[in-house]
Amino acid sequence: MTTNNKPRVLYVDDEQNNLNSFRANFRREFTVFTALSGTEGLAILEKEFIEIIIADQRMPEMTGVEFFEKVVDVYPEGIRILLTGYADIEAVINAINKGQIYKFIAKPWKEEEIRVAVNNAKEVFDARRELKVKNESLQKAYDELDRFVYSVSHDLRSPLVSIKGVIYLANQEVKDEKALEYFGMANDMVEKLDEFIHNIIDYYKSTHDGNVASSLNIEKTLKEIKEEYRFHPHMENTTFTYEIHGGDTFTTNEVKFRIILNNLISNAMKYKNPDKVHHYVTVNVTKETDGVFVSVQDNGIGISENSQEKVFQMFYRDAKGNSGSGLGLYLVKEAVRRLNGTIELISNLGDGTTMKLWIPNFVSDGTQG
Amino acid sequence: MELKDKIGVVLIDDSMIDRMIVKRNMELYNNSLRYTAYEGAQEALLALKKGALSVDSEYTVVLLDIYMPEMSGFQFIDEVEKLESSITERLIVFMLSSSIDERDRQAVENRQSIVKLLNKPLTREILDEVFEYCRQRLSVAEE
Repeated sequence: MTTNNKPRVLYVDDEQNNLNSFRANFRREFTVFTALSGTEGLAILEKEFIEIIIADQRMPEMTGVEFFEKVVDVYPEGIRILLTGYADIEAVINAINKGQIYKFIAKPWKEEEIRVAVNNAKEVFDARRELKVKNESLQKAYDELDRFVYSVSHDLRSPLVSIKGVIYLANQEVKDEKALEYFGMANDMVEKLDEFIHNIIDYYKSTHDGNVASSLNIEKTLKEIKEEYRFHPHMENTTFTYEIHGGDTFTTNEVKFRIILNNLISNAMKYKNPDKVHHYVTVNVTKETDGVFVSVQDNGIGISENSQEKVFQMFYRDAKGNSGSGLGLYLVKEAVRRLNGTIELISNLGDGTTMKLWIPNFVSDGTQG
Repeated sequence: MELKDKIGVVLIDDSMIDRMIVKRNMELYNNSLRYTAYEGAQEALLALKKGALSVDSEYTVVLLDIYMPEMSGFQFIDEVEKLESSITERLIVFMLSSSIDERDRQAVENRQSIVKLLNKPLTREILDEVFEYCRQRLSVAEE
């Protein structure tokens, strides 16, 4: 790599005189390499680090454009300038359209014109190179984040799940009431931490998994969620039902749609009203041509009017106990926003909560994250 | 015909505490099934090749952890799939993992030779599900 940052220029021309005068003119400003033919030029490109390639169009054996066609294959980064003394417009237009040349200069070339063109080309070369380096480091950071999230999802969760397993066994084998009470408390905290891990991963997924749209089977998704709750402690005295009207599939971003359903259903399950014998959670999905209406309804503790606007804020927790991570509804709101949908909360303290959503069909247009 | 005359249960998991959890669950379940635990997939594969994965069992239920040093659960399956069908058709493989990575769930779904992904920790309900599956697949009546 150069230390003085002079443009490194390869000039290819079949006339030795042109090469000599080029060298004489620019050897102070540029690091100059010359070649008498395209073949010779390609040989130099193999050995030397070149930034800018200038070639004459009219050469026997291989024209300038033909030479550049070969250069593009082996060394696309080099900035290519074509010199042309004849009316080779056809060839030039062709080359420009194929993106093979950066600039063309009429022959006989003037010193100043070459100087300006080379210096501009050098700036383009450096900018592209810098962009490439930045892209690579961004990709690296992205990969590291990926590994980090993976590590959170596995290395952090795996011991937590072992603790759950031990508490589960203790609950079956231990008879001491005080001990059981302590195990219960430990379990609550473990559940809370686990929920937090799920939320962190959801958050990461919703911001990084991009905006892929796919056809989602609503029935299958809800069935899977129901399956996940089959043995869950939340299912005690609880009925979970769902109804789907108007069709089974709709186009959406699956990651975000799942985050919405998972969090709303999990909340509806969790916040039971202790005064009621039976708890129910009902999900209703109605498909329209341009999207779906979703409602998630429960007869749980409800949300006080005072808290209703705050529950969607990041890290806000409704005062009762310490069951939530403060992330769930924030994630829901963000996912709804990115899907261009709306969400409405209807709740009376003590009666239960209904979340009503409209999620339009999702079209990935490359701008939404 | 009882299930215990047909199948043995094998766990492959590098975590000592997770092996304890499964072992104790099996004891509490009390269906007198043969139970063997392996600390690594390599070791289990060797035993499988020698026909000694679960001694004297016609069929073997394998509870397989995904993330293990040296050989992962999926790598183990890769190796198992290379073996003769006379060996593989006697295996009933479940993944048992704490992973919530979507890619793992997909990978399990794409493998014909894995029944399904079970979420840790193991519980009586999950064992119910596993044995119910075995009963149906092997046409063994409820005890």
